[in-house]
Amino acid sequence: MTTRELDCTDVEALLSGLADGELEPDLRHRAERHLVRCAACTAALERVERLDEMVRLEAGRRGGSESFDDAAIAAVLARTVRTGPAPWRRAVDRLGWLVAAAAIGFIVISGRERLGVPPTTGAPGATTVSHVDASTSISALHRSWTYEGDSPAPSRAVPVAARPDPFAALRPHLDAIDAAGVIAGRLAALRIDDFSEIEQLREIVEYDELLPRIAAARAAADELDRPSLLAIESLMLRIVHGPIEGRDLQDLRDLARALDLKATLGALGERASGGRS
Amino acid sequence: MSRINEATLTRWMRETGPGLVRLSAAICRDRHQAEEIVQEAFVKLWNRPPEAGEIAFLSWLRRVVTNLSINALQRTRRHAPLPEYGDEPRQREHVRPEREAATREGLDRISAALDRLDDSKRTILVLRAVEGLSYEQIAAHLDVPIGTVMSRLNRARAALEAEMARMDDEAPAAIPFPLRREA
Repeated sequence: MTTRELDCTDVEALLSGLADGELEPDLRHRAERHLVRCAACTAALERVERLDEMVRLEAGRRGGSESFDDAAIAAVLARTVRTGPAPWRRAVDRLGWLVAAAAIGFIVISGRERLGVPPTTGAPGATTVSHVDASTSISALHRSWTYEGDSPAPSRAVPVAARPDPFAALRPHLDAIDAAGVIAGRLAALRIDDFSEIEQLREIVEYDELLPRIAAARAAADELDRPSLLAIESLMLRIVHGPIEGRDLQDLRDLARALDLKATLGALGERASGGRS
Repeated sequence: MSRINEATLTRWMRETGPGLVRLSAAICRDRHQAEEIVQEAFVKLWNRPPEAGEIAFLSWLRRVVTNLSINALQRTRRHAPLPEYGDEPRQREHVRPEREAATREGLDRISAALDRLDDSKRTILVLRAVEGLSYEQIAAHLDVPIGTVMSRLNRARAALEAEMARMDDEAPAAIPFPLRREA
């Protein structure tokens, strides 16, 4: 693990963690050492804290402390307590009594058989309490269950087929795709001699563990999107493993520009975000 | 299956309802819709209470409210009307950021900027700045790796600052990550 001094780019990447008190102690100390000598980063941290305060105030103004008043509570009670338990819960209650009755009946009948007590005589078809009858009743009751809310009853006939979500597999990797777009943009803007930038990008790729995350995103993407993710993965591999000479830097920049990776990855992220149902 | 009685439900609504409405309104940007969403969440809680203690109920409610708020956004895709910027410079005196929180105009600006943010950025900002969730809680809430929470918050805050700067027709005070080196 590197112990070099953090620079502004490093601290910018850590800004939220610093403001939120979520950095590990060693990293926090290194960031604070940088803040001591950097007015710009100190100002950036203060802006984060002020923005958060304003977001809180705005939320308080928008939500309002009186927004869940007696009328709202009464509306909820009218849909819950006042109407009694949900139908499925009433069914569960009935089932509980039926199961208890069936168990008692089974115990009674078993006991009578063991004691040699003849069954109750009567006309053919006379019903006696037995576990078979109780089971039949339970099955009939089960079929009558209904549910409130969004869970269909088991007895409902045709399940509604869920609309397939084409981005479901990709969505957990959106953050990696965002980060890859950032990397691609910075690569495209590199000056030919900006090797220090490569070192910073290497730190970001390693710190955010972008290589395995982009690999996972590539595996989850469909065929049309995989080439873009493969290209950025290749670029990251070269950044991380190096070495990178002047010509390599030119190649990386040209590739990032030619593929317009930043825009492509941004569009992919937008489509996947918008596909959430 | 646990059962909630009327007294408990009413107490929870009084104690947590306002905060949940604030959370929902901050995400879906509509207070009236937020109230309906929170009502729906409590109805769900009544009908299908999770098997958990009281503290876990609040986490469950918060997650349900967040999801319902995001779903509402997806359905309606409503955006606050964008302010119109003419060619003439703004006449008001520029308010320094450290005093903005105390002014109604400052809150209007931040409100408009939040309206412009995309849903995912606004949601994570709200979970951190309004709800005060830790990174671990946010990760569990959004079902994302904890390592990505900080980078997402970075981008959300940078986007919010960029929106406010765009509204002012001014360049941002500092170039936000990651645009620092692009020239």
